[in-house]
Amino acid sequence: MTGRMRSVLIAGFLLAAAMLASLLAGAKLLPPSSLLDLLQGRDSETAVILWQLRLPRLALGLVVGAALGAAGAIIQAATRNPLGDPGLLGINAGASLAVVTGSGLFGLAPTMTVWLASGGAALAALAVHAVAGAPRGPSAPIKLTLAGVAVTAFCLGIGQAIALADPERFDLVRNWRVGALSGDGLALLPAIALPLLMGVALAALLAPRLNLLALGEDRAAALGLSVGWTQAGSLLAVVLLAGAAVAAAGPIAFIGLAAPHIARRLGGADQRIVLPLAALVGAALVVVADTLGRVVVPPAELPVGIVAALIGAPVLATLARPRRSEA
Amino acid sequence: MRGKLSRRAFAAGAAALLGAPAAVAAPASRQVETSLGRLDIPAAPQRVVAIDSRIGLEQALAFDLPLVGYSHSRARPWVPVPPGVPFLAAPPDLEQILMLAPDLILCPDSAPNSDWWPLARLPAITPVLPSDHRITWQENLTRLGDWLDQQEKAARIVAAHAKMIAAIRQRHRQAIASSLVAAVHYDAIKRRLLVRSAGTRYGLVMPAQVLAELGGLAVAAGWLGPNGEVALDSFGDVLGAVDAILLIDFGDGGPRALAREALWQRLPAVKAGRVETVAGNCTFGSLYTARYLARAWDALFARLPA
Repeated sequence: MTGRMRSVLIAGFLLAAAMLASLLAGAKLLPPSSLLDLLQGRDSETAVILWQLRLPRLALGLVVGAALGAAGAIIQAATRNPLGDPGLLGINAGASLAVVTGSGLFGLAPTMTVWLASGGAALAALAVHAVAGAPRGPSAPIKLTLAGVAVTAFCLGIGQAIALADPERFDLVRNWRVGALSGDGLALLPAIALPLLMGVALAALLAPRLNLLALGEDRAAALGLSVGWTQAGSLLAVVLLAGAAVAAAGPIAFIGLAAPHIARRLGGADQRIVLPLAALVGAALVVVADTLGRVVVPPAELPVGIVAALIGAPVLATLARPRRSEA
Repeated sequence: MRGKLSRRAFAAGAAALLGAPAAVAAPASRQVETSLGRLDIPAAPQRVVAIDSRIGLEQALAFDLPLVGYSHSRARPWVPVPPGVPFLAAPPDLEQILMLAPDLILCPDSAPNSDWWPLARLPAITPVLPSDHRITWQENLTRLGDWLDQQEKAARIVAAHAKMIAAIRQRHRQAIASSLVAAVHYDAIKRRLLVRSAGTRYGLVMPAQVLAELGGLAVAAGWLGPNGEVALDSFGDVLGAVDAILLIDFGDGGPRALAREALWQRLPAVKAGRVETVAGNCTFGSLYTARYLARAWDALFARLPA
């Protein structure tokens, strides 16, 4: 067994453990034997809890986490920016603002907000590039990150203004705004399926090209890669994946940042491995964050977005510290 | 109005200085002792603002105080606000209140430095009489009656309510004594129930107060989250033994969303049709909300076997 295969197996095992914990933990702790109720199709309260609450929530967490993890991996590879994250680069905030505006202000149905979220994410991504002055070279990551901070702040400010203008209407999206799997996001799964599939297909096509891009834009171009199209396709994939994830569960920060870093530690630098592995790790992180949020202050819960931020902040701090070899 | 009061005060002072009998002029102000210290309040307030549409507004209406505005949230349908009384900015805008030139403000003491109940900042405008959501509505009303020198009116209101409660107790003596009940509100966004029992961080909520007056038995706060929360997973554990449920409908689609939850439908009280839905947020209030809830509990106990 190769080291890479072992890493993938470890990641898969951790995801399976997180899934099991997500099914059994919550305001009511279920014994492992309760899973038999689920398998035997018994009409018990436990079976109802598993079928109606835990499984749909788990499914939503897996989908959202995988989408954010893959989006993070694509954006980090395409911009060659280790701080690339749909959250840090303003993409989540743009999608969030579009949903808040659409559903909070115009009362649009949740299924409509999926494409709205993707549109908001695209606009935010373009705004970040414009604000950063379409940067190239070694300073590009920091310029993009700073522009992302500015666009995020702008989107959050507008969102707050809308919230203050009509608190009652805005109440409908208050929980979603902090990133939560507790609502009826599962009902959105059919609506987000198409952008997600499109994003995944695009990511699969892009993976080998992103490997070339990792050599540097000039070398990649010399090897026959259309750098502009690859970056545009990457942006589209990120917009589709992150937009769908935000529409379903709200803006969840740091998953898109942390998952690719963990995936690279586990699987090396080949984007054909990193992209699916980042999706796997992202799914595990969201499921773990959601499960933790359900057990730390029962019967109340901390939304997954808040727990992810609490976990992600030290991760970001660790990444920002220079390694010994760089010191 | 303020000028009139000042002239009256000046005249009373002048008369006292000239040795005239004190009874000649009615006193323009009264000195009262509140949690804010010793205050001079108008003997007959002319322009009153209620900062909170629940306790303060209901109290002001009970004592026929001349209201010039109220805040927090629009008055509930069961509170008889005169048509001309405006709903002010919410959270209250101190400049707007200042412009109304009130001579008395009623404000809860829940969070003196908050935007919603800025008790600490209001005395700069005019005297403020506080209410306390941790004591019963009757105690609050009686205390305000003392401050306003309207003790008899307060006593009459409390007695009339007690009579109403006694009649309901008489009608449902058996059901009240033998049943466990719960007043709940469903938060459809977070998919959880909030049980309005006494002992949670919400303080002495009105559904629990009125149920206690009736002698009813509610779900203990120890079973609930700090704010009375019950997660969907725990519906069976917390509400499985409950005989009847008063479902408070905030008008946010909560009951409709709750009806879709299988764990709600599995509850014995729900299966038996022992759920009474009461429209409007009646978590806090005073005499009008107490009457409204007494009728709601009356209807719920009527669903139980005698």
